[in-house]
Amino acid sequence: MTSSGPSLRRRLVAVTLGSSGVALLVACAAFLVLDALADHREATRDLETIAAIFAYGSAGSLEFDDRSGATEVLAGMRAEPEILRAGLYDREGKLFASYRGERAGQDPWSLPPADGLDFTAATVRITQAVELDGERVGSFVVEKSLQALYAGVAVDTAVVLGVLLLCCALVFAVGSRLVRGVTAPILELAGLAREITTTQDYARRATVPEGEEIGVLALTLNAMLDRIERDTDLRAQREQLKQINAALEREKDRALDAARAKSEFLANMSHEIRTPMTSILGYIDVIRSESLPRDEMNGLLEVVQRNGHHLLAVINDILDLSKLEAGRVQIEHVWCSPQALLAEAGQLMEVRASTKGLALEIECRGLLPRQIRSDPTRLRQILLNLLSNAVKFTSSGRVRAELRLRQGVDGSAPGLTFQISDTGIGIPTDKHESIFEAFSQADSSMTRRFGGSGLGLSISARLAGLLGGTLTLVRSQPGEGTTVELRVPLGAELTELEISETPSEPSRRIDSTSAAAAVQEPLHGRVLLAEDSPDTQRLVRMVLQRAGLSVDIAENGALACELARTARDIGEPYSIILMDMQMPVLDGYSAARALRDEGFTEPIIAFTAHAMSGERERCIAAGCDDYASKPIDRVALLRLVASYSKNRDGSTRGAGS
Amino acid sequence: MLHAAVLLLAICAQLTHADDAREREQLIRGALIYKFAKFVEWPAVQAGAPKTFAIGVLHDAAFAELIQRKVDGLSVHGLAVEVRSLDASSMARECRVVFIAPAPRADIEAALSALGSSPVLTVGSQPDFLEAGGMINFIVHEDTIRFVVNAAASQRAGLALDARLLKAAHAVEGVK
Repeated sequence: MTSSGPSLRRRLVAVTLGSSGVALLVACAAFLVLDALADHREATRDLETIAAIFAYGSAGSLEFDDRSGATEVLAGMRAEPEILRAGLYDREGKLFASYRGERAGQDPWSLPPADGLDFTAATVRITQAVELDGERVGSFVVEKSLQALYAGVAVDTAVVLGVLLLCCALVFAVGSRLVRGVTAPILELAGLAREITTTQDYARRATVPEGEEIGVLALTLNAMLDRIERDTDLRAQREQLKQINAALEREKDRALDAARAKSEFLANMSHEIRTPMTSILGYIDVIRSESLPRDEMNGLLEVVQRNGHHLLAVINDILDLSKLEAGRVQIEHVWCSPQALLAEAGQLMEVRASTKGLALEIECRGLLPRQIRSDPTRLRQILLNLLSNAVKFTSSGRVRAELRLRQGVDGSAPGLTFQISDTGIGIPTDKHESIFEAFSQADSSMTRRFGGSGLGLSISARLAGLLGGTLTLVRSQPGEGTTVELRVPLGAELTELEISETPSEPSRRIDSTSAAAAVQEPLHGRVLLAEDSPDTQRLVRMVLQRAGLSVDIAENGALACELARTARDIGEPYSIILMDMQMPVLDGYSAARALRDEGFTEPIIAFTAHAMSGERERCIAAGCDDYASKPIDRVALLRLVASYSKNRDGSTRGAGS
Repeated sequence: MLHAAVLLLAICAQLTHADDAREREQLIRGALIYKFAKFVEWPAVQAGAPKTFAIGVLHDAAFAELIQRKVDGLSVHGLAVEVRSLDASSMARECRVVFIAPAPRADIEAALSALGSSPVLTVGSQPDFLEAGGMINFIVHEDTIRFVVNAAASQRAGLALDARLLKAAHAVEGVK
């Protein structure tokens, strides 16, 4: 393909030159052969003529025995230098007279050779009868050299070869020029075809040259290109349409799936919320309608309280999950200690575990990085979720959490592995696939038995994914416990990490009694509660008054500010301000900011129903000291208030710190 | 043939040494006369063309006999050679070739004039033969018998002499 151009021209020239050359060669050879034959014939005829003339002329000398006359006659051959020798013989065959040419090396023959011609390579000889009156009276023999003949043939050959070469040169020169005229358009077409093959640019066209066949060839090529271009365009369009169709199909499926998922989610959410709500409202109805003994009523109220807590958990989980589904969860990448996070989660779960009589073992094994880059809040949430699940589904035995550094294998990055195992009820094999899906607790009865929204694993798995890790079920069999594994990346090169060997720590216990005990101590002071909801006003006032505090109530932020100023003006400032963030007239954020602007230094604790992450930061940015999310937990509230009262009592706090 | 050979042998035996030489010369002359005929063309056929090629010998019977022996069975121009011994020149007209034996010049001239311009080749063997009007004359040159030719005489008689004959002649006279 690449050498077809020059090759075609060379071939055509070769064909021209070859055919002309062969024809010329044959013609020249034929000419030379014929020429040589003619020369030979002529030489022979000459010799025959000479022989005839001399035989005739010497008849008289022979008859009249005139030797000198005969010798004289033969001497006339000197005019013909090609005659080598000649001899005249009488009727008895005896030599009568002879002639010897200048070039002859031999004497005449002693006896006359047989009549007729005789050829050798270099000579021709003839024996001619000398006849007189029909009677043979002797023989005449003459020999001639063919040298001149050969010389002539050689000269002819040289001339012919010269002419042949000249003709070939002319044919080559003229042929090359003519062939270029023929091949140039063909080569142009070939080049175009090659370029189109390479570039796939079917929009190009050949220029149609003059000349019938090549013109037809170019037109045909152009027609073919038209077809290809059309086909290519159509194919491209068809392909594009197909892709668009496929994309639309996918979009449609996705939209349908999303709609289905949304309706399923709503149905599930409705179910999850209504179930505890039914208990709460039902039991309260019973309590109100009947006067019951104190013990029995306490039992019923416990049920109400448990369902309330469950409802709160469900709502929190649903909010988390919907945020995850909506892609609203922001992931941080900050330095944090995995050991500390695991220990913290373990501490938080310790009370529940010990209440159920379970051993909670937290262990860090081997070399571990002191810090990794990850989102500590989310990591903590996952670990708490997993530990809480383990404790929840285990009635006896132990719950164990292990942290290890996982070396990168086969080029994968190294990471951390948290393995949480329990000796709980386990999960049947056929449910393994679906435990990380939303609203798919292994058994719907589980929710009733163990509480929880059933969204924990689903949320944890999605959070693990957002952290760049995975959450997998390692093994689980009914009655044999469950092991799950959380893998998270280090978030930084291992070389940047400071490795430390962490001695395995024994499970730590926190003194759960100390916090409760702290609450038992009576509190003193004045508390300002800014809260618009009468129910919440009443609840909080009740809790705080029982703890020994006096409570003033403001219904919105503006009133709260006024009360705070009045209190300060009369010289009895509030020891703590509890500020709901969502209020009419002036909301909590603005009120807190206004009070701080006016120089108030009292601790402000924010109440908020916003359980979103970042809410705490928002409150503190507005000037609050701490944060409590609704619903208000009695014990937690008292502990919080107590801690700020103590601080207030013990030391002077700087404003806004 | 046998008869002739015995006769020739007898003749030869009787001959003296001198006679032997003379005899040999005569034989050569006879052969030459025969050979001359081959180099001569006679005019086109006459009426009543003869069946033989006659060679006449005038006034020399012995020579006639000698020639007869020499050419017996031979032919010239397709005709059998016949040798005639002549006594009168008048008979010579019938012959193609006539040898006139040496004689006084007057006799020779008489014999030649008798022939006139008849196409007869005349051969002689005496010094003044050509002057007398004869056509070919034998001479002896360096002990060899040669001949001289009078081309004019043969031309007058309408005879064409071959160039080869003239070439082989010792001399040719009467060529213009």
